[in-house]
Amino acid sequence: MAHILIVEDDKPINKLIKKNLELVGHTCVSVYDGDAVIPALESTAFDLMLLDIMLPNRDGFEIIQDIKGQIPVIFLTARGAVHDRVIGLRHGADDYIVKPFDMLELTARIESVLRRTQKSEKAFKLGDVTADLAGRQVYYRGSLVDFTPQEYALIEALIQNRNIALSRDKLLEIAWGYDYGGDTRTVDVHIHNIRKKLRWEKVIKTVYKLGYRLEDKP
Amino acid sequence: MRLKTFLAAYMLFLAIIFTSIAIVSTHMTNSTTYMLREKASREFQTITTSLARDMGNVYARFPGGESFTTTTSNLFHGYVQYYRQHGIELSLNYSSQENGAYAVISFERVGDSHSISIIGALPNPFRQYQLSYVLDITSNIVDMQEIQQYLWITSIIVSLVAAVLLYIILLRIFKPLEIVAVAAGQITDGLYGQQITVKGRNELAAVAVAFNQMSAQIETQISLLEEEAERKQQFVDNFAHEIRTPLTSIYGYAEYLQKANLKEGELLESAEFIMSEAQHMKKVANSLLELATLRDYKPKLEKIFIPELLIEVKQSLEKPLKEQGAKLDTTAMAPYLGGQPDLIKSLLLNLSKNAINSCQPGEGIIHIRAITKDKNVIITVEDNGCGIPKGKLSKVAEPFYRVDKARSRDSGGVGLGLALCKQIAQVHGAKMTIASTQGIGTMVKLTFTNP
Repeated sequence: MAHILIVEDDKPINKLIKKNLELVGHTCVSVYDGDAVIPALESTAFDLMLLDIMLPNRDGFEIIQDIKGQIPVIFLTARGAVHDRVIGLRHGADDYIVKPFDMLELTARIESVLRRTQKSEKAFKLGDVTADLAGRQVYYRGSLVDFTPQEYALIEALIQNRNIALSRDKLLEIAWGYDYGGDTRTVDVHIHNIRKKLRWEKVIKTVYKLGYRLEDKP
Repeated sequence: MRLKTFLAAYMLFLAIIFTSIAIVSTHMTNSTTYMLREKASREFQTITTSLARDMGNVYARFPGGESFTTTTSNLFHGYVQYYRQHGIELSLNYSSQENGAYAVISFERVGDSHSISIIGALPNPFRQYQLSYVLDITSNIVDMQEIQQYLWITSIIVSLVAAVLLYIILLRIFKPLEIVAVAAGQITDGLYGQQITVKGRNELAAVAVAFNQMSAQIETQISLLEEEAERKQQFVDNFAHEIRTPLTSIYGYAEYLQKANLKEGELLESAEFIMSEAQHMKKVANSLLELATLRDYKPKLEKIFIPELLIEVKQSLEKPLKEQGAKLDTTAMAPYLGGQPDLIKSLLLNLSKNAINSCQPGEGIIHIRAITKDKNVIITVEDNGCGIPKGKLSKVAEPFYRVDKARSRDSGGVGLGLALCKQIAQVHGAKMTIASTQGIGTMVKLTFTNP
């Protein structure tokens, strides 16, 4: 998975982002100060940078001008004004997330930027199951398993947000689209099928009153 | 306006010039006629008198009869010959009746020729003889008409020249107004502070001066409004930031609790973050409320004994002083201060805490002094801390402004301390000024003008 630099001066938020990203399989380095960005970039190769705008010593706009497109940048800021977004995007940011954000928004946006820059996860392996995320195919013990498009979308969402619980509503939206009027029990039926086909009864956990969570760590 | 003024002035000019020309030519006609008439009647008088005298002499020689008539006729022929050279036609008629004593004068005009004719009897004793006198005055009349014509032509030319001159003068007179109009238009378009120059000391120059004053005033007002709006916008932006940051943590950790497969200790840690961030929001809310309440607050002034106040402040600061290893000295050279004791104390505490926090651990020396100067009480809080960068000095008292963001947040500040201090000073009619040199220290000075 991707190696991500988190530049955010608020320690609780920085830590929160780090925890979330590590859950879904990324590795992260936290930086709290504008001056610490360039040294961090020089020491390690990162796939992506989450960059706060209001930082001590150097603000996000200055930093993004300094790095001149070396790596993809997602701005992370509490300033939601349209003017600020425009400045951010014009400076070459790949995306823009306004605080407060939710976990899924964060992972989805990171995923979309990584996919654009060809840095997204191409394969996922857990026990007997191998998922070819680029080819949209799933194998069990080496043999291809057939899935409906909805089932595949659910598998993909669960893998990309692994260790994070996804609500039934969210899963319904991901697999059937935003305006699908169906019942959330449809999700239960599909999850049941996936568990059966991949022997994932213990991997896909039911989270009480919420939904499902794929756990790759015992 | 310019066209109207031009037309009015020009009409007046034309009326005056042509009325005077008309009066002059009428007068000229009248005087010429009178003069010719006088001349004619004088001549007539001379001719009749001398003719009558000559005829009297003839009559003395040939009293009556054929020879008198012949001689008279010859004599008269001489007169006719002589006067014809002077443009005068004479003729003499004889009637048996006696004519009236008065001569009849009339002007006659045939075609282009003008004449004066006088018909009248000779003096006694030749009353039966009537002399007809016709003076040709065509040349006089033509001369007069030529002069009149010349006058009219001249006045028309003068009128045209006057029109041009008048237009140019009006253009010059109205130019300042046009400049004013252009500048006013620019102000309307948002280019405030236009200044115009009009030479001289007339009414238009006065208008220009008034206009310039107005323009400058507008510029000042607008820039004040803009500054105020910008400050408000800045406040709203900062406020949004200040609220969103803890909100992000609260939401994020709550979501984490709900959705993640928690490891040991994570539940406690997340809950702690949620609580401390909520606590921070509470602080922000309280400080903002305080700030808002203070804005319209009129403190009941009490007599505060300054030495005692400073001792209290020092006691309250014991703990932070110890933690930072800083020293606090107080000098009370002024006895009393009028103020609300709790507010004044919190003002000094706030400033002192800022001072303590700006110092390097173990090196801080804070000095609070109170002195009297020109009936004002001046209290200063001075430290030997890190100081404030020059460019940031003017902003430090703005709500949510932090010089060192990271440190301020770590020490639990919400960024409203100095804004509150400023507000407290303001409701006491005091002025708060900050002087600072980076690396050397900061001095906050409170000037109470009505202690």
